[in-house]
Amino acid sequence: MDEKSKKSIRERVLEEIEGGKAVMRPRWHFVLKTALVVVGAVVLSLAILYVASFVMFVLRQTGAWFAPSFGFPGVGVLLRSVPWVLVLAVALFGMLLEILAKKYSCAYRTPLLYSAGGVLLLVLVGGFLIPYIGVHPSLMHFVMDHDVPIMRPLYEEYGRKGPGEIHPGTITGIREGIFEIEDRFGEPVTVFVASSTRFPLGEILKEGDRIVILGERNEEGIRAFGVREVDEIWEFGPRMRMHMPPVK
Amino acid sequence: MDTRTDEEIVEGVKQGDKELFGVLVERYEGKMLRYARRFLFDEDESRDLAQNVFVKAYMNIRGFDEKKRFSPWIYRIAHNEFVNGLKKKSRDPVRFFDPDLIFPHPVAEGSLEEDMDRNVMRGILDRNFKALELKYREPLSLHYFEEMEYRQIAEVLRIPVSTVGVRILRGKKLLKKMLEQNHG
Repeated sequence: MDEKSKKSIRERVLEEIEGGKAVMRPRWHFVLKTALVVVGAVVLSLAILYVASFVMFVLRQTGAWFAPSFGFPGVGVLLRSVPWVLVLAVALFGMLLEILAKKYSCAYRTPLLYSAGGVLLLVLVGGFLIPYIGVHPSLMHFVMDHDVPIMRPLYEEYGRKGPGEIHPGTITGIREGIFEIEDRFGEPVTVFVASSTRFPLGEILKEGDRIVILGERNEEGIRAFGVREVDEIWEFGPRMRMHMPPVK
Repeated sequence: MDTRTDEEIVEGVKQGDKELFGVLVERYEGKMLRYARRFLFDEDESRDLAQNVFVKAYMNIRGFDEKKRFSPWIYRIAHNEFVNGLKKKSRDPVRFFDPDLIFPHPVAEGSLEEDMDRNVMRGILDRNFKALELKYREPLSLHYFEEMEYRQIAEVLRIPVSTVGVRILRGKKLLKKMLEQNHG
């Protein structure tokens, strides 16, 4: 039997303590640790709220959110338009929040279904409630006007982008089989309507109505597969135009 | 023999009485070694890991809230230490995700107590625990050998109380099945 195993665990532990190998951590270490976890959880919650609401804002502003009302082709457009990187970011933030929350008994005592439900609720509040309060338009204007780092590239990137097949705009004139619209960048565009064009919310449209058109755009204009009215103000429009070159 | 509670002793250690920590080590030494063996560590490994548990407990003792019980707190440190020890030792990955943690389950504390006496259960566990998965072995061990209630086990393992109930029940069923196979 070697020297080490001859000694009792008590002796070995006290030796480490007396020898200074084991030192009691100060109280502030634990206070700081708790504070960091709380701050981390708050930051992650805010990040989830912000990114989830931003995804919804982008989808509504680009018109993609309304595309499924035109049927199966519209569902494909919506799926192609979802900023999946941001969705993944929300999922990652959610997982990190779950990990942080599990340090507290209120979270680890409950089944994952409930705590994950809490994170999902945050995503839903961020995705559906915040856009209705109208936080993003004013936030976007502030970000663009004050050149806020990290956030400005977000608005620029996703404000410029948009699925090629879906076109939001405002009607400026109506003729037989043709709508004249101003797209979200203020450009005049002609929309050609055919007998096969779908009007899921009805055909009665007038000047000033804000609409979303599903269809291919070429040099002449847009051949409408479907047209619907939306209750959306195009925030990615005039203000963004001041800051970025128009889309081709 | 010191008649103070663990929590009172912790208070003394926090005040700077290093020797007093030895009392806690004496009180929990046997328990920690027994708990370590349930993780299938040999004698030397168990002693080294138990020593690490006490060293870590001492280092983090200012983070312990005396309003709570000391026992689940030190078992939590031991659980982490032993799981890490197992990860280093074993080539098999220790599973951290368990479907039992997802859904709520009704708590059925002691529902099989009627047909299995506690001492009989200990004997069966002792003879067969190596054949059980760690996720069943650990709560069964804490319940039958460390005499913890489901709520305390939940604190140690940081899982819902209902999941502790499910794991203990399944562990018992598995043991029962093993017994039937051995005798049948």
